[in-house]
Amino acid sequence: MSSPYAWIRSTRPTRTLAWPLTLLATSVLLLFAACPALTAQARTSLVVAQEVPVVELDPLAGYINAPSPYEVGLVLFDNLVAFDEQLHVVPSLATGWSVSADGRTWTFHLRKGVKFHDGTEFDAQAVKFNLERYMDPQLNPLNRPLWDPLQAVDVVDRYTVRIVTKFPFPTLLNTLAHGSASMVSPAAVKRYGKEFERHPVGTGPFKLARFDPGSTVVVERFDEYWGPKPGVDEITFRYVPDNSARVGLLLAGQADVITAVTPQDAVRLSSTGGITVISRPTLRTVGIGFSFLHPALKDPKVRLAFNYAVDKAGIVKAIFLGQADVLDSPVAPDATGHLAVGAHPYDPQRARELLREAGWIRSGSGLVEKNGEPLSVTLITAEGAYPNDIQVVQAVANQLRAVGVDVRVLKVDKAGYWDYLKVPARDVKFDMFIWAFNPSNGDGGYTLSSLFKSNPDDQGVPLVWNIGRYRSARVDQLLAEADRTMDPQARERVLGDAQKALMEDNPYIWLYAERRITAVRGDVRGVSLLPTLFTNLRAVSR
Amino acid sequence: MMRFVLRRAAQAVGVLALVLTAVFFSFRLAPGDPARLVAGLGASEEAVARVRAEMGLDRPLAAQYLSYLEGLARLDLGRSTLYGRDIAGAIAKSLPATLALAASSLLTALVLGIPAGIVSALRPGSMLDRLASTLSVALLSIPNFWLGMLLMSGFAIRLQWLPAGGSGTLATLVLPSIAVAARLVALFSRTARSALLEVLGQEYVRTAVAKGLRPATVVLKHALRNASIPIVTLLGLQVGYLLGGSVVVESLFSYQGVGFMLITAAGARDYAMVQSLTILYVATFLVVNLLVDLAYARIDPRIQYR
Repeated sequence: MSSPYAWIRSTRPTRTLAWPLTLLATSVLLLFAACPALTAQARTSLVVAQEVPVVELDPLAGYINAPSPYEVGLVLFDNLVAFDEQLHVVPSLATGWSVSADGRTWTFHLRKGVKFHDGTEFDAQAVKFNLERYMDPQLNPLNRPLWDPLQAVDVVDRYTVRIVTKFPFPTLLNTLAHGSASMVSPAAVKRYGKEFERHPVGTGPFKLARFDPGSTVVVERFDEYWGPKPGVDEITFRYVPDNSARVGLLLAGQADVITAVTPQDAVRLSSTGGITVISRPTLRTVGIGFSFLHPALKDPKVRLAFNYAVDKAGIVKAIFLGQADVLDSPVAPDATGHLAVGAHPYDPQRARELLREAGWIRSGSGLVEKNGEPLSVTLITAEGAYPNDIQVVQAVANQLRAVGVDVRVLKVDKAGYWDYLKVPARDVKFDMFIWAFNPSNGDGGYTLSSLFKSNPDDQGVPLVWNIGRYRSARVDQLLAEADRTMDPQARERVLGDAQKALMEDNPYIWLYAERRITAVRGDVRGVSLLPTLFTNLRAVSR
Repeated sequence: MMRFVLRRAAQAVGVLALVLTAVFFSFRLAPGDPARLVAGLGASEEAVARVRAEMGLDRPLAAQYLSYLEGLARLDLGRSTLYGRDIAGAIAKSLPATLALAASSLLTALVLGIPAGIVSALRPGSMLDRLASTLSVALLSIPNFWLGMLLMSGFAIRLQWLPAGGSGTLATLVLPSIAVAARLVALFSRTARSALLEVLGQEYVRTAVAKGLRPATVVLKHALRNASIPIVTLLGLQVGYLLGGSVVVESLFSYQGVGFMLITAAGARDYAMVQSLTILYVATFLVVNLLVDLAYARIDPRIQYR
């Protein structure tokens, strides 16, 4: 090879380059050698990698970024009552309760000798302070349906509290077991003011040790805890947004528990020694809602046709590898009041027939048309707002196209998804939308009310989550009845009727209830998953 | 020279002002209502209106823009809705981690890339050169997050030599640095090789050899100095990559620098934070480019700035 620099090759200057290379090799080796010692951890501590950052820890308002802050809240705080794993309400800071015949006055007997982490005592005054704080709409704008029915809280004696509701309120216990009803130290709230969200003080099995908002929360065992003592000294909750990074940390031994495992990773982790994968059906239901502003979608036959056109079981199998459950009602199977009213099976032939009956005739282009106009819809989605949302939406769009519907998928930024949905009618840019709802008080009535109660004004911003502006006098009446029916069985019947009515009306394409997957290292015991999506570490040990 | 520095600095300020304005207005025009987010999703319209007033979002855009500039001048970037503290303080806390990552990546790239380029240039077509060239292509074509995942699976999960994530210790710096540095190593080695090849063919190098100088002196002192202009240019251009690349890699390794913060803030619609970080990134880029221009004159006295 001839080149202008050929002469210099004979002088072999490369020997003199040996030193920088040696220096480099040595420094790399040194770095590697320094590492194992730095990754070691103390024996009775636990590291939990979560998918959402914890930025504030006041149950009053700190739970916008569910579920991670709830999971920390579960170990820091106690409620008057708690959910067990089957979502039954069990005693916690209240040891027993009774309700008056008219269903409006509840008396709670409190546990004695309970201390807050700051040493102050838990008593009836503390309960009154806490509940009044949550009832105040100015202080607590979140979760109003849970709190608005409460009228007053009275101290009967030091360990007895009376709660009066405005009307018979059958789900009061669900409200009190909800994550946003935790008992916090009144003294600490007065001391820290707004800064209480950085200095949470509860009566739970762990107390706060260090809080680096948006990054890390460290809690340590509270020795004066009234209940069973925790099995570890310390838990570190760390925010790790990337799915594969959480799996990496678990496999590398840097995390002991990881949340929000994807079905794909779950398959891989299940076959890895020393790792336990916990998968549990949740109350979060996912579906594709119809906007009733679109003229064609107002026709119940068209909505039913769309429901038949979508292969829900196929989506669950292909996209979630079976880690989700096809819905047989608008309410998830584990929620209170659920009634299996039956899913619409995948039947594209039936879908085509229904569309034809509704006047939508297949044209030469393969699309269905009425008066020369194709049936066109815009389906809006975010990417990452819900697990695999974009894949689900693509699958639904393809299956609708297969029966002749012209579907355009509109993808928007995940952080701004709600801003596209909760807008006045004139700003609506979609005809269908993917939506999920988790009734975090465990009650199916909460799902139905939030999604299907008529909006006061269909031209305005949807009041709760009735984004599609569905309106049914019968459903409204049934839901109002359920809200005040104290007898559990009678209430379930009413809620069941509402589910039947909704299944006939089809304001949604019902898809599936999510499963939540958490993975745990083999030597960690006592981790459980609540159907409300939260990983519960109160009983953890190793 | 002084005039040049002043002129370039003025230019940089101009560009920054343009970017500031564009960023400010694009965030205001984006869909979504920060007040509603802060007030809570279940908040009444009155509560949202109150928060909007508190945040100053009910005032005309021009007034908001002016008070934003005024705050900026006092280094008061506002309050982060996500971190619940002043933005400047939050950034100051995360910045050292990102600087450490950028510095170690750059150092790795220089220390590995330039010697590799020199060796290749001195023996073009040799086994070593071909090996370096193949490696460079490979490193250039692997996306940094993918390399990061490979490194994590190899060194953190299989061998358990290094942590798979986190920050604050030297060990946590290693894998993210390699993931960011890989592309730079390849770029520096390719640039050093071609620049040196060109210089080695020049008359003055031949003269230096003829004078009887040691080959190492010829290469390192005479040739490399003249070959370093393209390398320094590359350095300036790659600062953008260093910052951008760190966003992805920091997120993958849950390495808590400003890149990690940017991703978190964007996901949580903490617009004020995203806005401030965007401006920080642009400002860094401008400053580094100015420094690069000044470095030219230092390296090559023939380059005169007026």
